[in-house]
Amino acid sequence: MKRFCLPYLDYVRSVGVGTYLTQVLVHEPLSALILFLVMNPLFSNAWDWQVLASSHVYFVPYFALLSAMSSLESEHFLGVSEEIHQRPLALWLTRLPFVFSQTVLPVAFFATLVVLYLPSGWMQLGFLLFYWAIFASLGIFFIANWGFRKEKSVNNSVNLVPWFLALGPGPFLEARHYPWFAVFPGSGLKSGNYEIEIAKGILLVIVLAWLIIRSKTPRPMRIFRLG
Amino acid sequence: MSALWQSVKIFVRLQWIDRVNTSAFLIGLSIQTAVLCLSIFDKSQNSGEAFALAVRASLLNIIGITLFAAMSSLANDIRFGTFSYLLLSREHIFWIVFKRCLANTVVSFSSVVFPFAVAVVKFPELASVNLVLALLAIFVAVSCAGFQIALVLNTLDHPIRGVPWMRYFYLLVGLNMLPFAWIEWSSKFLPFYWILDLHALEGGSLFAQFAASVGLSLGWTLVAWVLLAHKTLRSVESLQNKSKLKVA
Repeated sequence: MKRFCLPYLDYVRSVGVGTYLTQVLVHEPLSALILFLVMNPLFSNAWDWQVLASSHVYFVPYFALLSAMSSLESEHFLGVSEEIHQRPLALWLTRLPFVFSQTVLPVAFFATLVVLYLPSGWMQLGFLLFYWAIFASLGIFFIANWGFRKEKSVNNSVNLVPWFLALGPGPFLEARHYPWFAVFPGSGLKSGNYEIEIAKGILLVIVLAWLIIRSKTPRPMRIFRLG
Repeated sequence: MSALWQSVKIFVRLQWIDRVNTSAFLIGLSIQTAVLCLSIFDKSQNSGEAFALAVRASLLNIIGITLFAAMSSLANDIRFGTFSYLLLSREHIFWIVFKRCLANTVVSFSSVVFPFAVAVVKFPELASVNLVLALLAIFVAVSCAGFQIALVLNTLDHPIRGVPWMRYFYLLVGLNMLPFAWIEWSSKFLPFYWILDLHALEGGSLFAQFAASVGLSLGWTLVAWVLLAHKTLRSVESLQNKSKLKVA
């Protein structure tokens, strides 16, 4: 247990505890707040908790993917990629403290809102926790497969996350139901159509299994280049 | 005139080369603009909302790009050791920085135009002189904001750490996004507040608000230059010496 927490603790020590806490407690919530507010006209209606609660289908995968992908930053300081290369379980366990500590506060916040303000809240809470776990793992293994090449590509993927997920249901598109919503998380939750959500969950698990198997094969280029 | 055109061309070309290497520019000009345009089309109920959402979307796009452009407009010269060329140039260093900010606004201005184009497609009555004035005000406001950001960030030891704070300042406060009275009160001191409802005005009040926006942009630029120019230059020089020591 301790040796899987050491990379995380060393990362926090390297960037500095103050910088790390500012990142987790200020920058991540405020960036998400900007994403929630920018297309929300607060001209007449006051703050609506129910709208915020129902946008958990956007924000929970957003936080999970973002922190899982940016967990590659620990590579800059540690250089442990040679040790965890082709060892998916070790990779997953060393990144888990990183991802968990960065996402536990927003996920707990949205879980509370979902239980308090949404109808059939407990059912939605189950999907929320599932999406948290699956998108964190998908992010970790996506980066394990394609992230080790260049810092630029990692940066681009991290910047792409909010706007890729924004094409699904969430704070950006909500008035109509678009045909491509079917592939994004949470399209069946509003209408109570849980079968399509479960089918999507199974598909995501299959994708994750493929990524894990793929990460066990040798990489074409093992050296991480900055810039 | 030919010399001016040459200068514009080279500044725009250099900014383009710099910008296509940043994720904020690549994502901001492609999928981010597309999603925000779709969102404006999806969510706006009337022309006023469509206009305000277009202002917000365009500034979310271009402020994100401008922050990195402004940060690197001096920081890259320190990083690559070309700062002495900038100091020894015939032109004043801050005039060059301002031209870089203008060129950045030029290369990333399509991310401002597209949200307004979508708003006009949905509500054709928005196509008027007010729209042209709003685009002009955004151009001036963003260019001046880039200059102010360049001055503020380069007084810091780690300019990158100031980037998110400037973003919150310009987006949350400047665009009056939070439902608090004091936020609305303080956003009146920034140029973006006066652009948000420019579509509904006519005659004297239209030009008064346009002038307020442009005046605040230029005024804050002057204030930033008077207060920070000396400090920025000293801090940049000391950073250059530090990096030289590190190399040695």
